[in-house]
Amino acid sequence: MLSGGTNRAQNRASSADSAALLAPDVYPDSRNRLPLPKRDDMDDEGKKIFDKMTRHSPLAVGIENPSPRLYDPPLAESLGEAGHYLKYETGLPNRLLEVAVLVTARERDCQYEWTQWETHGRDPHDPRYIEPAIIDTIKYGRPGVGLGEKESAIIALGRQILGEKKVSSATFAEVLRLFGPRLTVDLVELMAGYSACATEMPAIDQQLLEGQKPLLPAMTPHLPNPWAGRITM
Amino acid sequence: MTYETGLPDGLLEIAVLVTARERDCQYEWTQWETRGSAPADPHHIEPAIIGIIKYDRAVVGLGEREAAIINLGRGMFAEEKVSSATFPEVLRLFGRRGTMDLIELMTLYSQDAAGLAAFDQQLAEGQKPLLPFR
Repeated sequence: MLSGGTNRAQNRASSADSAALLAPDVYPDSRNRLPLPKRDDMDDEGKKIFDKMTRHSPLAVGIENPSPRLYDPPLAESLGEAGHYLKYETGLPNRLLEVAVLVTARERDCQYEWTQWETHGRDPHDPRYIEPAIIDTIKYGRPGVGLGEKESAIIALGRQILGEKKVSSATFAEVLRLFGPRLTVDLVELMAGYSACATEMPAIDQQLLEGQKPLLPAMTPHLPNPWAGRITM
Repeated sequence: MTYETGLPDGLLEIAVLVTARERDCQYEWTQWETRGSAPADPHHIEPAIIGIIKYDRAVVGLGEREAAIINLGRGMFAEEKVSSATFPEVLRLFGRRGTMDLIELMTLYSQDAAGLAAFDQQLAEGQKPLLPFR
């Protein structure tokens, strides 16, 4: 999600080489269509929120600079708190968090989030590490066979919420059996939140970090079976 | 986000309707069209605007802010890329803060649409669905 953190990206993006590759309406400091929000432009309440929202997150991913949401500090605060809770405080294990975000990014074709999360998920030293076979199952729209039942259930849930826009009774019942009502709601909201985040990216034309290679292949749209043969490389 | 950003009720109505249309969210559409069609409701907007959103008609003959919101929503959801023409127009009309508020409002309702799909949320008893299938 659009998160707070350090200004590393800002510093990295300041090079002329980086700017030369961006669309004319994309700012080099933020790598999107809005320049980085500036703390000095805010009133006292805004500055408090700015400081709070740019703390380093325990497992930071994504835009490592002040979120564009900080143009409306109360908005950034409320959304940031909800996002932080869903990522770090629901009790969902890191590997299942990884699966849930990846399936959401895949279904929404969100290159930005996918590339951040696949990178973390493939790093054996990262708490969100998952087996490469799971990543590839999600990435290439393969059937979720041979996976753990929780991983399979999350993939099916995400594909149906976002791909089919309707969750089957069987899938929902399985998720409920495995996670219970509270964590089921958390999972749905986590995926819905990342789905929403994926919608922001095309609005502000968010670019990958400097030097990052896109890792998500395009999906062939509008095929009748959303799980078969839809990947183009 | 729905009530405290300062976005006028009529523009809020348009932003939510275009999101519900683009996400094919029957539940939200039906609630918001009902309000938007009621002359006594603060969310009331001209029926022609509802028709443009509902039936994917060309955005012509509207106020510039109404048109910009519809184009923004269609760019975000349907085209998966907001054009370089639409974004500066939204920015000109609403400023940076208002633009982010609009984007977040629409993403929030998009988020709601995903949650409603997961839980198979039904309309209220007796409500008729108002959003036609594409």
